[in-house]
This record gives sequence, structure tokens and C-alpha cells, in this order.
Amino acid sequence: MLEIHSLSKEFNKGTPDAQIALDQFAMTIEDGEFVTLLGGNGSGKSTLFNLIAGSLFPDSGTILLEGQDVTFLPEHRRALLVGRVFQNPLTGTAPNMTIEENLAIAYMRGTGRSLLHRTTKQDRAFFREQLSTLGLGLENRMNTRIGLLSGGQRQAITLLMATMVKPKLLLLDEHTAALDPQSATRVTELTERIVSEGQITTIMVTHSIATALQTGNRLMLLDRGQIAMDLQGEARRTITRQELLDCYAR
Amino acid sequence: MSATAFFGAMELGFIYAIFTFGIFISFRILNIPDLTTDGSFVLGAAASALCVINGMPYLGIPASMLAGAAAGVITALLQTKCGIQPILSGILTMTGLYSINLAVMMNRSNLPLLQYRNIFTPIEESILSRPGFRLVLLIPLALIILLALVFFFKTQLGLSIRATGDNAEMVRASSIDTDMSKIVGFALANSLIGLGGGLVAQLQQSVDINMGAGMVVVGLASLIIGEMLIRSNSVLRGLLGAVAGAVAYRLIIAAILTTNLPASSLKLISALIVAIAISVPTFRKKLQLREQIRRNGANHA
Repeated sequence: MLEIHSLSKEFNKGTPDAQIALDQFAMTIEDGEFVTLLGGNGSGKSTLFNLIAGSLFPDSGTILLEGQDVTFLPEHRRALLVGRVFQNPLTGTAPNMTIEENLAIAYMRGTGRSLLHRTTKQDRAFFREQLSTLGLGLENRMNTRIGLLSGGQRQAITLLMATMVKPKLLLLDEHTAALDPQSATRVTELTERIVSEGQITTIMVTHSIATALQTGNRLMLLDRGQIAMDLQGEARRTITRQELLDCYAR
Repeated sequence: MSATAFFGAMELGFIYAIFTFGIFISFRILNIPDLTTDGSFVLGAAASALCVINGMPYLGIPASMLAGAAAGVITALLQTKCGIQPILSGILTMTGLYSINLAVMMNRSNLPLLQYRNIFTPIEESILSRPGFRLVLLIPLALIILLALVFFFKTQLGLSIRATGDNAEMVRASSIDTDMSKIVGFALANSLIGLGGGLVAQLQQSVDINMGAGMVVVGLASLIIGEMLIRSNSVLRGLLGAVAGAVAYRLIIAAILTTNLPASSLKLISALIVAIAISVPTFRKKLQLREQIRRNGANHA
């Protein structure tokens, strides 16, 4: 469960450029919820993500993840709890390292092994099995450098890396926006499958209203650092594209 | 080239190979230009010299490594914890080390070691005393270090260091502590650079406060020559390239020394090798583009 209490963040504080990104922001996301987060540019989505992931720290407020206060936990320590996939498919993987080596790095999360541990046969078998679930044939290319793969393939691997060790929270930052339509569809399907199979609590930022309506079981609209709309259950199922668009315009 | 000159170059080549491993780690794996080199090389040499003077030449190996590693940690701390740009961090450590190196050398700018026993003395005294006898020690040493590095860079810590240099953005979102990766990486790189200095000190049986000047460029020249000889796409191939490049570099220098060129022109030649080798791809691209434009023009005419 993710609980956010009165979270505030202001940029360029005390200057004429001061801009309040989030003001006394609060939200609670239950275990297993898959939230699609909509909002225009400057609505505070990115700030919210960066605060949750630990790339930024708030001026005030608290962030609790499964009861643990993570508000000021350093980014790399928080990465043990939070999986993250970015918009740019080049961001999530190390291009000059092989598929196997990239997965080994992701697998370090929370396995609590010694720093001198090397990838074992069992690890390799596990990676192979995980890769085969992507259905891209990558399990036979474990020694290929990631930089040689396409954006879609890389994003699929990034998604796998973020979820291979089950995170307490998965953050998807417009992770299909930079892909061609076919790859985007495939990665979206993959996301839905991985999230539902693992019962992973997820927040997905998207600019696509269609995607926001098709995926997830809760929909939020952010506007000027506030939750302008929060739909769950019946309301989430019955909302139409037009109603959503009207909300955007307000 | 005489046999003495050839084997002398080979011996220096394998020492420089170990030194070039260090350059490879900072410049290629961590992807950060590390100018600590010029200082940590001398620090390693000075530490090694002290051990030789005190009758413990073998202690010189770990001592020069530790000394180099300490210098690397300082540079890494300046970079990560103090927010100083990578190049400046290295320059600061290098500059500060000049005073420290002088202090380690008991405030003398030159320490002759001719009258002391060193790690090569036992081999020299045995029947193996002929040109290149030091290779008996140096080749296995370089090989062991190479294998240890290949092993290390497959461990979790090694993978973390490689990822830190390969994609900083990815690493920030992973559980890797990039500061720690850089500190360990710089310590490792400079320990090998220090060891290179320590071995040179025992081979040439003297230490000079200025022996480190331009060593970054020498290391880069070896690295680049190595990359021309062995295309690097893995740690193993990169390290093998470092060996090939370092040996080739020393042989080139030895060849130049047989000509009438003065020995003082070596630094200039090293700098030229690096400048030319790095600029070749750029010029090649420009030439290709010009050729393409010319051909396109011909087609339209």
C-alpha cells in the first residue's frame, strides 16, 4: 500500500520563477491496484513520480510504502522497493552489456547476495525462463549486447527487469510513448499480463486516453498538483472517452 | 633493434600492460577521464622504492597497489561526495600528490635504487640471467591480474561498476549505489596504475619525482593502439587489447630510439599518437560524406 500525506514541492523557491508543483497532495493506493494517471503537461505527474522514486525530495509531507517511511530514503535504496520504467527505451538498460548481464543487475535487487556473487547456472536458467515469457525469442540471445536490440525489445526487457524481483510498487512513466504502434501494443499487453500475474501495485502515467481507459482498474486525473478526478469500480468501468475529454478541458 | 632493446621493451611493455589495465578501467569501463594517473603512478613507485630501500622488495607490490588505491579513493570522493567535476578532481589529487610523493621520497627528487635487491634480483642471480629474464615474473603477473579482473567484472560488484559507466540513468533507477561503484572502480584503477609505477621503479632501479608526467597520455596511447589491434566488445578483449597495445607502444618507442630522434621527443610522439588515433574516425566520416556528396552530384549531372 502506498500512502502519501500532505506532500508539497515547490521549484525555484523564493525566486520570481517559483512554481508550486504539488501542494498538500494526498493519495492512497491499495495493494494490487493498477492506477492509470492522466494529466496535462505541468500537472505535477513527473514531480509526483520523482518524489515517489526518490529522484527528488519533497519540501514537506510523507510517503509511506507498506507502512515504511521512504520520504527521504536515497534513490538506490528505494529501488529495492520501487520498480521503474521510463519513457525512453534507452534509459532502462546498459547498452554495452549483454542481456544476461543486464538481468543479473536487476536480479541483485533484494536477493541479498554477496558483492562477489557471480551468475550461476540456476540464475541463468531463471533468466532464460523469464525472457521466454516475453515471447520475443530473446532467451536464445542472452549473450547479445542490449544496444543491438530494438527500442521495443529493450523496453520489454526493462519491464522484465523492473518486475523480475517483485517490487512493492511499479512506476511506469509513459513507457510505451516512444515506441512504434506495434511495439507499443505488445509492451502494453505485456505490462497488463505481468502486473496481473504478479498482483503488482502499479501506477502508470500516460497521455493516451484510450490506454488509460483500457488498462488498469483505477483512473486518476491530475491537474495543477491536485487530483481532479479519481475513478474506481463501477464509475471507472462506465466512464466514456468523451466524459474524460470533457474533464480534461475543464 | 638489438636483442637487449627488444627484450627491454617487452619487459616494460608487460609492466605498462598492468598500468594500462588501470587506464582501461577508468577511461573505458567507468567512462570517466581520470587524471589522478600522473600522481598515483609516482606514488606507487615511491612506495615501492621505500620497500626496496628497507630490504622488502616484495612488499613493494601490495604497498604500491595500496598507495595507488588510496589516491583513487581521494579522487572518487572529490567527485561523488564533494561534487567536483571528474577532470578537476583528478587534477586536484594529482597536484596534491606531488607534495606527498616528495615527502614519501624523503624530500629528494630522485631515489637511486641500484645498490638494493629488488624482486628481479633472484632471477637475475639464477641461470636465467639473459635479456628479458624479468619476463619470467612479469608475464605471469600480468596474466594473473588479467584473469582476476575478468573474474571480478562478472561479479555483482563488477557488473555494478560496468553499468555505472555504461548507463548512469539506468543505474540511478536500479539498486546500485553509484558513488560506491565509482569509489571502488577508481581505487581498483589506481591500484593497478600504482603497481605499474612500483614495478617500473624496481625495473629501472630508480624513482624520479617527474616520472609520472604525461602518463595518462601514454596509457591512452597504449589503450588506443590496443583497440586498433583487438576490437574490444567485452572486458576480456579490452584487457587483451591493453596488453597488446602496451607492448606495441613500448616496441614503437624502442624503434624510435634506434633512429636519430632525440629521446626527449617521446612525449610529443605519444601525444601525437593519441591525437591522431582519436581523430581518425572523425576524418574518415568527413571524407566519406564528401565522397558521397561528390557521387550524388555526378548522378544528377
